[in-house]
Amino acid sequence: MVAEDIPWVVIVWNDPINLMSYVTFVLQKLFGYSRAKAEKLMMDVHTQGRAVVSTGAREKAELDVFRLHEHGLWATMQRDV
Amino acid sequence: MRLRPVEREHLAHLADQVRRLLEDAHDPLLRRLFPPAYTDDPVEEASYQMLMGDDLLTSHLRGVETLVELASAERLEEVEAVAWLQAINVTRLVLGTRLGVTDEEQTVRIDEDDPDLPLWVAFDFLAGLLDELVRAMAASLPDDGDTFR
Repeated sequence: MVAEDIPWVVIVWNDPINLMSYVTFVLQKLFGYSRAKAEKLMMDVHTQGRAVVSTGAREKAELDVFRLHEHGLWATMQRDV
Repeated sequence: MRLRPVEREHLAHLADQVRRLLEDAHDPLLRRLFPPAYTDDPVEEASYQMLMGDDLLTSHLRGVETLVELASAERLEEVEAVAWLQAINVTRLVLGTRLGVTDEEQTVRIDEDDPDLPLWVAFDFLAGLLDELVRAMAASLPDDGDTFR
C-alpha cells in the first residue's frame, strides 16, 4: 500500500462560539448527512472535543476543510492512522 | 425575515465593521476566520494557505458584503439566505473573539457597568438570529437518511 492510498480524515474541533444548531445544519448541508447523524457528530464534537466528519483522498479532504472554514467551523485534516 | 428596522440597521452595522476588518486579513480579531488546515505539517500548511487563503478571504468578504446589502431585505432567496447565515456566523465569530469568549457556558452578562455590554447584547442577538435562520432553512434539507453516502 502506497502512502497516497492512506485516506485523509477531516476533523471538526469544538469551539466555544459556534452554536450547536448551526454546526448540525452545516454538517447536514455540506455532507448530506441525516439530521440524526449530523446531530450525533455535533454532540461528539461538543462532548469529546472533536469528531471525524469525512474521510477520503487528500484533495477531497482539502476541499471539505475549505468549505467548513467558509462556514466558520474549526476544521483540520490529517492522515487516517 | 421578521426583523425590526433598528435590528436591520444594527446587523448591517456589525457586518460592515467585519467587512472593514477583512481589509486587513492579518488583524488578530480575524484569526478565528482563518484556521489552519494542517496542524502537524507546516510545509503542507504553507502550501494550502497559498492555494486557498485568498479564496477563503474572498468568501468571507463577499458574505459580509451581501449581508450589508441585504440587511434590509424582507424576503431572501435560498442562496441569499445561505450567504446571510454564513455571514452572520462570521460576524459572530469576530464578535466572540473580540469579547474573549473562551468558555461555552459563558452567557450574556447583564452587567450594566460592563463597557462591552452592547457587544454582549449584539453577540446574543446574532445567536438568536442564527438559530431562527437555521430553523427556517432546516426544512429544505433532506432528513431521510444518508442520501449522499
